Amino acid sequence: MSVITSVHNLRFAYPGHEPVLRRVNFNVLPGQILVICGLSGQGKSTILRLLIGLEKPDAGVVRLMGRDISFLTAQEFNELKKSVGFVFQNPALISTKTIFENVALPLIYHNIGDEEEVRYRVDNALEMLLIKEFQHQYPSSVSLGILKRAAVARAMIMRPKLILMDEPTAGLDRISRSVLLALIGNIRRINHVTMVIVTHDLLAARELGGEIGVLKEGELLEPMAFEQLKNCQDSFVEFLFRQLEEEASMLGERAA
Amino acid sequence: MTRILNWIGLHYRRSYVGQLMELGFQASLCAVHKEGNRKQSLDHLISQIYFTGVEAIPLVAFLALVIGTATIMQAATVMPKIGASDYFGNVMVLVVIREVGPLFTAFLVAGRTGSALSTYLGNMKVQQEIDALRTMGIDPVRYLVYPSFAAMIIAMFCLTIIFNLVAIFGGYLVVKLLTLMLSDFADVQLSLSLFLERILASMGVMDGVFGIIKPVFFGILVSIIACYHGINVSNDIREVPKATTNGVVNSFVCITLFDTLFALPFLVKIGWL
Repeated sequence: MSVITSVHNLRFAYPGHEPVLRRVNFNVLPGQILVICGLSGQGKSTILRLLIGLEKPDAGVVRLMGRDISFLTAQEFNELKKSVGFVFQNPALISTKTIFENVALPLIYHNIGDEEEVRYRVDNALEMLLIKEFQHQYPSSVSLGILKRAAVARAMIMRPKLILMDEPTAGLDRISRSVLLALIGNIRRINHVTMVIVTHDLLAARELGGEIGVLKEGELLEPMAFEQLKNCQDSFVEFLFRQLEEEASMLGERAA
Repeated sequence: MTRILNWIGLHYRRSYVGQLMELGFQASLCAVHKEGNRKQSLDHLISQIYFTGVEAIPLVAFLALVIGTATIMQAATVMPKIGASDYFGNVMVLVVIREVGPLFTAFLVAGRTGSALSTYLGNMKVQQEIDALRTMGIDPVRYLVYPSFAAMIIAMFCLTIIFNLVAIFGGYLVVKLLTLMLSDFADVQLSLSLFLERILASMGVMDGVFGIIKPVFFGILVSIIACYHGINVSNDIREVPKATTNGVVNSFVCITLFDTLFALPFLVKIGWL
């Protein structure tokens, strides 16, 4: 089975800082969900930025759809990006465009379909994410939950093979978080899209299913299912689970 | 030797001027490369021309009227006293068309549109909107810089022509009006047709050429400097006002510097250099 994306011996440091990623390796197969977990500031989002070419690795190889991105021309890479969707932690919608225009933007820019087809596809995406009623509103006038869903709609509008998501549930209340996770699950089931999701929220990682890779001191531990991870003997993973239990008990207290 | 040239080239490319030139080159290439959606590009171009050009007309016209009136008034007062009334047209061409018109229009566009552009792009950078465009395979230079770049050139050219026309016609009419209202006011002593005839007779080929080149060049300068400072903001909202200020100040300095350089051929022509 062909690999959708893979990284091999990835190393990266921000200028003037210690390497945040030392030796990261993983393969993502078609239809798979890889959830990358870890503490804040450990380089989780940087992995996604490296995958989409927003940062250049100091060493190592990043492959998208089997192609080493370091050998692609800007034009070839832009072409390849049509099959990859990206959701930022901060939704990063264009503030001067409505929700509809934001979602339609990649289709219009890449000349995909006529006006009618663009409307049909955007309407479908907005309906799927339950935000059609907000289509004429500007990003500044809707809640973060709606913005995150609009960002997901924009990422899936090109019918990509791979969607990269950076902390999709960060900053959301419990209800918005549950709705978004359910919608992401729907998208995966309906579109059979491969996903790499970065989160510090282990609970969300369990709900999303798939395999969880823990980022520890610049290296990604072998991805495994949630239950396997729970039984893992690694001290860092145990620490993460303790944090999760504390968080869960805090939520329980609040609910009580 | 090759290594030295490489080293010079690399340092030049990393320098401020090198990066401005690279951005200008990339924006110029967008005019010939058929990437992206043409209709969308045209829509952006038209809205930028509207903002940069059409919305600035009242301000440019007002400034032109004031400067035109002051120039004609001063010339009408001083020139007859030194017996230089015949050179009235030369003064108008020299002061308004060759120097003040392009210069003041460029200052105005840099202050108004340049600052708005730097702030807009800076905010987009901080909000990761520019990164979002990149992830969608959308070239930010083509999508954001090129429409502003092309619109600024077109708008600067048109605004400079409007400035010159309003300064000359408007200034003349205001002075005539003031002469009618105030009896001891210095009159132009020329009919409108003779006034225009003198101006046209004083205009050389170089004035026409520089009348086109200067606004176009200033338009390129202002747009590239504004866009460069906007898209190079680090991901910190406090950097946006700094980028805007730097963009406007650097535009003013560059405009003044290049205006002086544009004057060199005339100084050579009259034998001063």
